[in-house]
Amino acid sequence: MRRLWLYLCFISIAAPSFAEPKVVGVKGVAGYLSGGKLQPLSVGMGLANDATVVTGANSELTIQINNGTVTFKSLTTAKLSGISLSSSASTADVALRSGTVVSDVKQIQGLKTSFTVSTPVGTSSVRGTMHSVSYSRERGMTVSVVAGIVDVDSLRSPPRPVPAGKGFVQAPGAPALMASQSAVERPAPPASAAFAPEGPPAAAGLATPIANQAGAFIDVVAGGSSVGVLSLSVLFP
Amino acid sequence: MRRAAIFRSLMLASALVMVLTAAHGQDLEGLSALILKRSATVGELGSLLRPLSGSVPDPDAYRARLEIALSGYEPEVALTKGKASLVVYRALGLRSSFFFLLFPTERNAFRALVMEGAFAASGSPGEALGGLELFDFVNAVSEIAGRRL
Repeated sequence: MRRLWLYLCFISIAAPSFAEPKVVGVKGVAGYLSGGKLQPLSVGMGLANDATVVTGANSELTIQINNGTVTFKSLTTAKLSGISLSSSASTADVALRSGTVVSDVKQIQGLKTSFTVSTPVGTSSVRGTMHSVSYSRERGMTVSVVAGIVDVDSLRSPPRPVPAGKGFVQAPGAPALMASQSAVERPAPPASAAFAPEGPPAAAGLATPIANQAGAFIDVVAGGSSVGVLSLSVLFP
Repeated sequence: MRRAAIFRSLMLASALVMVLTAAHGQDLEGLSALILKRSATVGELGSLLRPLSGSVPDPDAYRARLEIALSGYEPEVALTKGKASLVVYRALGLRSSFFFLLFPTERNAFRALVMEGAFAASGSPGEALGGLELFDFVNAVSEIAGRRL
């Protein structure tokens, strides 16, 4: 009998438990989808693990999820999923369909935290930080990091860390652009490089980044895919 | 007697909730219906733009300009990017487009809002705006209004 009790205690501690998200703030109109209809949300209410929440114009909703708080800004539609909490790990995902989500996740020693905000074009993973993610079908995904580091993984670029004070923009149909201080502070190439004979090393060092940036810029402006035709007309007097 | 008092306070509370909801110009049923719509209407654009008066420099002027701009269309008319652009361009009192000053058309308003970042350049003014797209658009408009504060 004692063995059985010990076994049950071990299971209850080791197994991930369902942590119910709790509404801690509502401003204006906010609801969760239930049976095809929106039901009103109020402070203190618990939400299902897979709840879809919607906020109205000039409205705001704040939810406590495990060791973090998530604020859904006005006109945001998002779905919660994969929320679990155990003594050693905390996981949560917010699938953002439209609008802006601001997350503030506290880093707790010994608690492996996986908090992600996913959009149709990318995912940002938080490990104890404060950041905001916006998504719109027209304008794509925008990540702004206030504190800590966020890993951003998008459909069109490899995973990359975005530190505090930096942002990440993923246009709907274009490669990602990141406002990187290192790119701005990159040392100028030596003068000798300008006179170097044409060959792979010089071309790889200079031409490739410029070509990449130009392609990304054209894509962001055009909002289209990374493949396109650029026409130049030259008029002679 | 006590039951009547409880009933009265419940009625008062529900009336207060109704007044507060009406003040926001939106309700949950309207929002859930709008999300599922493939094509929103000009009236729905108006109901989402009215609450933005709190984030513009001159709320009274904004509300007046918005009502004038909305009066150009019937509320049931299907919303396109061009119509939404024209309403917003006039409501916010934007002056960024020289072409709009010359020819105040939906097309020029749309082009101006593309430059402001509200729409992608790949779109066209004749495209219909669905419910979620309207949410995105109003969020973009509130950002534009915020930049001008």
